[in-house]
Order: sequence, then structure tokens, then C-alpha cells
Amino acid sequence: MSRKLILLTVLLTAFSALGFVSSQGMYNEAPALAEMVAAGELPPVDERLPAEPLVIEPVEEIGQYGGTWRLVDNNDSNGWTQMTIGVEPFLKWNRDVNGFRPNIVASWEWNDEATELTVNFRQGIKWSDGDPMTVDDYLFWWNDMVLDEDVPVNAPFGTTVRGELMSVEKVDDYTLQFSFPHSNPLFMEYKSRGAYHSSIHIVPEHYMRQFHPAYSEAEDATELVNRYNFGSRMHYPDKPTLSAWMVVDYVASQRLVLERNPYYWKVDTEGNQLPYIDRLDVEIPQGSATELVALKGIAGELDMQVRDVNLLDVPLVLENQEAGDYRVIMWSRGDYAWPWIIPMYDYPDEGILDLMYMKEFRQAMSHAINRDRINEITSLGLATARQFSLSAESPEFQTPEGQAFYQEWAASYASYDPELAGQLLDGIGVVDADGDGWRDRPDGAALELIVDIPATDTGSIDRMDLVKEDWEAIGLKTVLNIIAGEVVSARHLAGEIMIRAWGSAAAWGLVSAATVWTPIEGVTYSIGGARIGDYYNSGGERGVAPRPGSMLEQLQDAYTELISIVDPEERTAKLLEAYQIHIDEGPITIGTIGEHPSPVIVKNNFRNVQDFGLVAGWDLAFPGTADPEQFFFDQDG
Amino acid sequence: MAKYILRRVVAILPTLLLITIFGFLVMEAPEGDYVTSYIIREYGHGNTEAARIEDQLREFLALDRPVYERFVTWLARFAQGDFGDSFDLRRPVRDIINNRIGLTLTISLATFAISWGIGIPLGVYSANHQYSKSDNFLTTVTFVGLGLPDFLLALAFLILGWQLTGEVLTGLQSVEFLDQPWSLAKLLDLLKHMVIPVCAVVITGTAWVMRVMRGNLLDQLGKDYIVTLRAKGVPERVVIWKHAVKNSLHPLIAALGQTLAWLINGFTITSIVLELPTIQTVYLNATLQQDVYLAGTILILIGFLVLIGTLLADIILAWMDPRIRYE
Repeated sequence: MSRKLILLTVLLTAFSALGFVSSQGMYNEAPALAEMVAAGELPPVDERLPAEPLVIEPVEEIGQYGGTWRLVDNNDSNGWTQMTIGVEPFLKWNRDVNGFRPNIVASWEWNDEATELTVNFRQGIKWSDGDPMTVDDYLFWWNDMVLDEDVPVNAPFGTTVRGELMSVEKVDDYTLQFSFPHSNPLFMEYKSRGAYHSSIHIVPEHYMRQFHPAYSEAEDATELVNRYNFGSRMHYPDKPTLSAWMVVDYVASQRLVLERNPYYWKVDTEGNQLPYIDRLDVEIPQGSATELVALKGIAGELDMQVRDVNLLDVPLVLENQEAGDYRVIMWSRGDYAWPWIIPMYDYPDEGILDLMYMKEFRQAMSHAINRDRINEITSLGLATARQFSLSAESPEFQTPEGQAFYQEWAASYASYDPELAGQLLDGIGVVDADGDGWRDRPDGAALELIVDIPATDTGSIDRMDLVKEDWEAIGLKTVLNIIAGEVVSARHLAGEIMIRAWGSAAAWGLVSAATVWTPIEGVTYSIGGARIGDYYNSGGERGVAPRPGSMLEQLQDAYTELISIVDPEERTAKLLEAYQIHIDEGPITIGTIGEHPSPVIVKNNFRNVQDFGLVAGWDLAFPGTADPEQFFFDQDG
Repeated sequence: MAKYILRRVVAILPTLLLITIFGFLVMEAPEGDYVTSYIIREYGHGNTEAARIEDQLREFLALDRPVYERFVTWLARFAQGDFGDSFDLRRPVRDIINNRIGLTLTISLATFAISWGIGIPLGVYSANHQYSKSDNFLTTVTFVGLGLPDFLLALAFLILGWQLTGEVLTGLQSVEFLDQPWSLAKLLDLLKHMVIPVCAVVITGTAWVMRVMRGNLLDQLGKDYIVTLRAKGVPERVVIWKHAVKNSLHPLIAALGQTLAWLINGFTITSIVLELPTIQTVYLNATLQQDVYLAGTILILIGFLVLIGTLLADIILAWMDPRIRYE
């Protein structure tokens, strides 16, 4: 063979090899999907991905494809699973929840008054059945579900400003134009919380249409809303999704199985299509999940379990780490208190209200509590004794001034000082008038503090037992009314509760459950009582007004001003000013212990799990915020 | 006899109607309705504006209609075999019950058969050997069995099972068999999972049957006709099994009336701690959620079984005991 021929052969081989590489495309995919492509069942990965897929940086390293992730949810609503796979909003929280990053929305632009918003969707995203996603999928939800009187779907928070609905227009397939009657600068943030809001507002129109009474033979909207509602949206394996995994099997009250979405629109930094993990196998418990989680966890039968790992089970879970081949990552609940004690300012007894509105009375209640004792007895000393002062991780507390302010607030009226508490009560005339050993109201009537607690919140019950001892030690007679959660809530909304103890919760600022620090919504976790919040939210049409000039009214006014401030820095500065009311007039809601660690059970070969996570708030949507699509099983280790 | 049975059957219908009405009213009694609890749960996971559509939802679910109207509509559809939809699980009640009744009956019938199958002979043995060492031993064991709640035993067995096999045997099937057609492997898997709940419930169940049997048989053994039979030289085996035992079964047969309902209503807490996919767990959740049609249907089913059970018990007693028949 001549040299030339050899050279030619080498060159040809090299070219064909290059050609082969280029026909492989830019992106890689899971082996199972590659097989389907080879068999002609699926288009090549480059065609399935958008022109510019979202690139996700792995937490530790580039992962490997494969594996089944076993976990336990808590009921048929599959809320834990939704927070794992269903977090695909317009924007997504940063992994440290300090701000947001682009997700489905690639870019957006406000006008100066924050009344007009242009939103650009990432182009080329496809539903899990291959149908292209466009703004029509959002508009179907707004026009044909929210605005359609025959479909019981409500306009969510953020879509109305001072009671008036927003309007939204299609500019092109990937661009929406929102218009608001008044400034609404936080709209994108509101829309991007949790696994609800925009994560569910973009619906597969091509699929949903067949269940809509206006476009099909359907008698009513039952089948449509079943596919949309929180409690049942995971029950339909044929429903297309934008999530990393899609439901392939649902056995009512027993099991949910999900498999990778071949059209998922994110890749890692080396161009591997995500997710890495093949399947999720979710067990749905019949009763409470905590025992099941503890047992399956220590037996090594769960690959990553974020919720329902009881803090008191920590010694047990740690003890079995080696045998079960797992590690325990301490995320935080991010809770500002467990419980937080909410005095209700809408209680139908003026004498009680006079006391509640008196800051000395609340300060006495707060100083009487021995928080360190509660921490030692009920939380293995792992929590932090503190005032109700929102979550330490709140973005507005991350500057030096913010941090200083937070420390001051968290420490305010939180010291254990029963003597001072007694003096405060003496000072406002809450003394034992009839000599029965209990302090009475200034008007002479007997005083009894009644605290409602849902029977399922055993954490709050255990701690309130100790608070009751503390309060009774300074002469405040206390009754714990432990009843069914549904009844507590109904009483709460009806304004029949004097004091409510609430379980672990995270919240902050204007974006995550602001109503816990300023009464602006008619919900059960509103500060001061649901009806005080409802009064604000309904513009005075319903509910109960806070007393004029009171700290509650000041907070509502401050909130009104805050939500229309367009400049973020100015907004944060004003926010801290509003919080100051809680120190000057505080405490308004009483904190106990908070910042509970939250044990997460993770198998040793389950990788790319970050050290940070906040699990108490639905708004923060962990583990979704930690990008489960880049979790993987290390098959070599 | 036929007339007696007919009279009893006819009496069932009004009783059943009363149970239904009462059950429906009880569901209505707590504050709020399904929509209230739905909205509160929506609040809980972030849909803070859910109350906007409170009235719309009530209309949608026909909960805005007066209670008697809803009751009559539901009952009319019930009579035609349409039990309505579960609000919470968003599926027809009939499907939910159908999906669970098979496994529920499998486990409860197994439990029933074993505890009676063991309890009766042990009770007879115990009565015949009153105050012997073996009787004292059995008595002690049964008192422990009666004193220990079955769900506690179930939990202990669950841990024990895990330590022995390395598997956490909750539920009644391994997940991989859940949606599969029946096969030998699936049956074996079911049997493996049944061991813990059946053992736990059998221990307490057997103890009760045995105590009742022992007590009644002792009563009978002291009676004159037994003395007479023995004096006539009738073999002891015939005295005990043909005469004494037959006459001491009455309380157990009367208890059968309750047993029929117990088949779908017993060992609820055990069902919950062991994650058993039975009617009991659905019933408890439906009651908590005010899921009226689901809970109501199960209540009627339980009521119906109590009535049928009582009827059957009465018929058997009448058949066994001429005194009842001729009254």
C-alpha cells in the first residue's frame, strides 16, 4: 500500500470519526433515553432540549445517570413530592434562598412605576410529551380557569393589587405583557415562591383543554380542577409536566412512581441532560409518616428523606448511620419559633383585648417563659431560645446593619425574668384581687389565658405545657385547649380564640408569608388574628379593624407603603423600620424557641446534596430549591 | 322460623335508614364543612387567597344546598349504587371501597378464623383442667394478651421483624407488587406481610375467645344435666363436646353479630401503625376531613354489617336453641 493511500485512509477515518461525533450532537443523555432514540421512539436529545437549555452547576461534581430514589411523602396530596420535583416557577430561589435566579422566565423588564411588566419565557422548552410550551399555557390558566366563573380556581396572591385584578396580554409565543392597576414591584417574587404559584400556573393547555366544559363535552369542571388542584394534581400519569420527573404510576394512598422527563430542559456544566436519577419511588403512609420514616430510615430503605424525621429521633438516627449506610445532614427548619404564641386582637371580650393591646402585659407573658428549660427538655438543647423575630436567614438580615437589628429583635423581652414579669403585671393592675392565688383583670374579673393548640402538633403541646407552668408560676391561670386541628382552624377564622400556639414556621420580609409579622391576610397564621388580616385584605369590607393608632394599624400602614416601593434598597431599609415597631411595641406575637435543626437522612452514595436547607416554609420549597435534578447515585462508591 | 326471619329482615330497613340519618347529621355537626377544611389546607401550603372562591366552591360541590336536600339526593343515588365521590381523594367512593375491601377481608377473616380456631379449643381445655398448672399458665398468658393493646404488639413485632429479616414489613404488599396481577410471588409476599398484623391481632383476639369459652364451659360443667350424663356413663368426650360446649357457645355466637362489622372496622389503630391499606384507615381519614360521602358510605356499610350480623347470630341461636325459636 502506498504512503498516500495510507494517509488518505487515516484522514478519511479521522473525518468520519469527527462526523460521527457531530452526529452525536452537543448534549448527552441517559442511556435508557439514548436507546429510545436509537429505536426511533424519541427525537435526539438536541432536538428535545431548548436552543439554550438552562445550565445547572452541580453542588459537588458531575453526576452519573441511574438509580431509584426512595422516599416517604405524608399523604395523598403528595406535598413533599411536589416540593421535590414540582418547583419550576418563573424564577427559582437561589440555593441559599437569598434572592432569585432565572428559570422558566429567562428575562423580564419593569417600567419605572412597576405597573407594566414584560416577561420573556425561555424559548424551546417542551412538555414531557414533546409538545412545545408557550405563553398560551399560562394564558389558558388565567383566562379559562381563573377568570372563568364555572371553574373554581381563585386568583392567587400577587395577581390583584388593592383588590383590582391584573391584566395580561400575549405579545408573541414567548412574551407576556402584564399590567397592574397600581405598583406591584414584587410580582415576580410572589409568583416564584414554592411549588405553587407560577410552578402550577403554567398548565399544559393542549391536555387540559379536553377537560374544560367550554371546549369539550365535559359536564362541569370537576375533571379539570382535579388535574389542577394541589390535593390531586399528582394523580394523573398521562398529564404532561415541565418537571424533571413525571408521574408514571399512582396507587391511591400507597405509592407514587415517577420517571425522568425525556424533555427536561436543563443540563449540567458538561452538557449532560438532567436529571441524573432515573426514578422516584414514593411511599404514601396511611397515618402519620414519622414512625415509618424513622424505621425505614434506620433500616437504610430511604435514599434521601427531608421531612418527617422527628428531632427527638436524632439519637436513634445517628446511632444507626453505619449499619444503614447513610449520613445525616443537618438542615434547618429555619423556624423563628416552635411554637409562636399569637395573642388574638379580635377576641370577642373587650376586657381581654384591653390587656392584649397593653405591651406590658405581653412583655410579662414573654419574660415569664423559661426558654432554655423548654429547649433542654423538648428539643435536646438543639434549638435557640429567642423572641418571635422571623427567620435568621431572611435576606434583609444579611447585611451588617440587618444582622445587628436581627440580634436586637431576637433578644428583645426574651430573657427569663419572672420577677420583672410580676412587676410589669402589678404595674398595670393585673393583681390577685380576690385572694384566690390567681391574678385578675384590672376590672376585677377573673383572668384565664386560654391557648388553643391542634392535637396533632405534639411539639407545641409539649412546649406549651412548660409555658403553662411558667405563666402559672407568676399567677396567670392558663388553660391549654387541645382540640382537633380542623376545629382550631374553624374557631380561629371565626375569631373565637384568645391565644393560639402555632407550630414550626419560617417566614420573612415581604415575599415569604409577610402576614405573620403584619396582619394583611385573612389566614390562620396572620399576626393578631385572621379577622384583623381579613379587614386589611378586604379593604375594610370584612373582618375586624385593629384599634386606631395601635401597633397593628402601624404595621398595616407600613406594609401598604412598603409593597409599592420600587427601589429594592430603599424597600429593605423601610422594612427594618417597620420591624422596629415589633421592638418598640413588642412583643406582638410571642416567640419561644426556634431555629430547630432538621435532620435529613441521605444514603452515603446519594451525592450532590448541599449542606444548607430550610424546610419549615412551603414558600422556600426545599429540597426543590437545592436542585434535585442534579442529585445522583454514585455507582462506584 | 321463616316468619321469624322475615320479620327480622323487614325490621332492618328502618333501622338502617335511622343509622344513615344519624350518621349524616353527625358529619354535619362539627363547625365548618369540607370547603372550610379545604380552604384552611390551601392556606397551609401557600394559596392565601383560597377564600375568594369559597362560595363558588360550595356551589360547585353542591354544599350550598340545605342538608336535607343533600341527604335525599345522596340517598337516592346511593340506592342506585352510586355512592358519590370522595371530596378529598377526588375519586368515586365505590372505587375506594372496592380497592380495599378485598385485602381488608383477607386479613380480618384470617385473624378471625385463627383466633376462634385456637381460642375455642384452648378455652375448652382450660375449663376441663381448671386450676391446673397448664390452666394457670394459659390464664396468665391470656390476661397479658387481653391487657396488651394489639397496636403495641404490632409495633414490637415490626421492630422484631426488621431485626430478624432486615426488612421493614409495613403495609400488606411490597411496592413492586402493588399494581401487578396476582401471582404466586405476589401471594407469598402478601402472606409475609400478613404475619405481623395477624399475629398481633390474634393474640388479643384469642385471649378474649378463650376467656369467654372457659367461663361459659365452667358454668355448664357444674350443671345437673352434666352430672346426669356422666352418671349415665356417657363418654367424657361426648359430654364435653356434644353437650357442654354446644350449650356454652351462646355468648360467642351472640358476639358474632359484632364480628361481621369488626371485619371492616376492627383493629383500626393497628392498621394505622402498620400502614395497612384497609377500610379502617380510609374511614378515619374521611371522618377527620369531613369527607361526608366517603365516611357516610362506610358508616352505612358498618351499620349494615352489624344488623346482618345480629340477624345471623339470632338465626343460629334460634336454630341451636329451641327455646328462642318457640318464644
